[in-house]
Amino acid sequence: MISECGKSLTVLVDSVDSNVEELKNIILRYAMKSGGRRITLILHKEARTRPLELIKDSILNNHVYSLIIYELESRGEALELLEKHVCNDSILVLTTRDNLEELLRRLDGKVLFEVV
Amino acid sequence: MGYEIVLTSDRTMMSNHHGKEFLGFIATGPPIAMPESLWMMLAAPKVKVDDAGRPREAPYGMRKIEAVLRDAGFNAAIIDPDHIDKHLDSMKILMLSHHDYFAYGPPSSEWWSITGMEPINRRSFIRFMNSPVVRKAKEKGVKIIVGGPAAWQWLYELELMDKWGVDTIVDGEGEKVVVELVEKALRNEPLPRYVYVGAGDVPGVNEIPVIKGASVNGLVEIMRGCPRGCRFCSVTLRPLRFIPLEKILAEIDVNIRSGLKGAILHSEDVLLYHADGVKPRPDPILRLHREVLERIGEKRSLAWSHVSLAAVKYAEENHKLISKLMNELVLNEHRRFLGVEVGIETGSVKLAHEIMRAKSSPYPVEEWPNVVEDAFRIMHENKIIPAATVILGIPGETPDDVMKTIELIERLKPYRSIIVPMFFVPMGALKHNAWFLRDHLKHEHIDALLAMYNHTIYWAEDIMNKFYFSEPYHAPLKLLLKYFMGYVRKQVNRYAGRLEEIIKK
Repeated sequence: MISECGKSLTVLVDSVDSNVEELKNIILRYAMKSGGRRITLILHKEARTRPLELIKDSILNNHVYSLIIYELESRGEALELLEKHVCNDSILVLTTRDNLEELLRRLDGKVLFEVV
Repeated sequence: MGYEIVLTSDRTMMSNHHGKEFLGFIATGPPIAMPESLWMMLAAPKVKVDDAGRPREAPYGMRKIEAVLRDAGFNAAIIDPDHIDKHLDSMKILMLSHHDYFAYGPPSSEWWSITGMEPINRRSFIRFMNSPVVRKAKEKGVKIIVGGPAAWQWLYELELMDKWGVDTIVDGEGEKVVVELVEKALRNEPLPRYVYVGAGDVPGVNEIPVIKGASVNGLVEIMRGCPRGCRFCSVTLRPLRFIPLEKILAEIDVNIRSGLKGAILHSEDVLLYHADGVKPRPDPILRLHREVLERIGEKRSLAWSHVSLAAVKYAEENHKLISKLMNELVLNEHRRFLGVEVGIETGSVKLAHEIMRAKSSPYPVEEWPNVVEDAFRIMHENKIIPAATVILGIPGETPDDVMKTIELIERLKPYRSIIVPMFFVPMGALKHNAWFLRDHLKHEHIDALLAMYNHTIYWAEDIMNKFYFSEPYHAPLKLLLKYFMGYVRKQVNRYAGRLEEIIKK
């Protein structure tokens, strides 16, 4: 189930100190568009976003979507994990304006970007 | 030979509770009127193990995960918590499961709230996680994966998750997740911190394996999920699946081969096995019981985990199914009762309408108090002994709702049963609401607690003497429980009238 392809949404959270509520709304919007029922979140500690703290109150944990959350030590490890992701399902990167250009170069055109 | 993957839990889980499932609930309370060691002995005695430390019987959910891993070819086994040191050299993954890791579930949370003392299950689990063997395992790089019905509680204990080095929380049915997680862990790949298994990823009946070793007190699952949609419950949000009879019987055989003395049929509502919606059908129920009883023979005990009161009433009134089951199949000179858990939750029709509209189905929700009383009468007449729950502090509850609950409890006085209070815990569709704690107790809640206490004390001795502890070897247990009940009775009588003040202190 964890690496299974097919109608899943994978999200890399690369923006620092993201507001979890805002993230939740963006992610759900894309999840609905993807039409799937599985969301994988890739986070890294450099981004200082800890959604586990809020997931207990979050509508992401709503018994409909399967949710897989990775929390890696560094941004490099998070990007590496995303690059290894073999599925061609929807991939969304939430990033800052500063990082956008670098990520556009590094990740190919199949990835959707949203600046937060 | 050591195991690479060790599944375990603390002693409050890894016990057969003297062969009496209900005694396991004692572990949800703090030790009262006796030392902790005696309380543990009463609630959770050690189980028999083999040379490798594998328990003769183990929690059912862990048996399922063990079976999935072994079917996939992994070197995995459930190991008693006192014996995991035997596998320290070989262990690469430690998998934990629990019904109530931190005592945040019902009824632990309310005993904790009322007494102000930490329940035994929490103390025991924390002691286990801090034990030298678990710390040593972590130092050696063993991955720790936690799951089970109380996995959600880790989200409230993220600091402990970091302190103890828990790698992954798996919340939900684990059969389709666990192999992949273990493969990742063994390959040293990054593990997810959290996995929630949504409705679309639960296993189908063909993906649920047959257990390889015996389950605690012979518990065997006959269904998963529940169609009633009660808003305080998380089970009801899972898809409904009926386990095929041949798989049920295969698991009964596993338990019998291990020498267990009984079977517990597990479902959120046993009478809904292959039902027509919420209407029980006699044929599948009778066939299930006939085949199970044929397997377990005349001397082994039989229990149901849960049944709904509406199903009991409907089954008896429309098909005489309860009396047929009990008188023609279950009861004999060795099996003199059948125990089961039931949910009353509230006596208020208004509240029932808001949070559990389908619990009374196929009867209208306005009939809920009558459904409860009729079902209790039917069970009493047929020697089914229910342990019932009532929830206090449901969001939106008014003093009048609590009064209606007290009235209903009083109507149930003639019927052999015990009634246990539960403080509302935010779960299921109501998970965003606040916890009900002792600071929220009002006068009417104290009255409700006393009504349940009076009912339970009234019937407990009768149940203990005539039904529950009939074997001579149960005498010390019976004595200990009688002593405890006597102590509680004395304290309640002594402080009656001042309970509200004392609890809120």
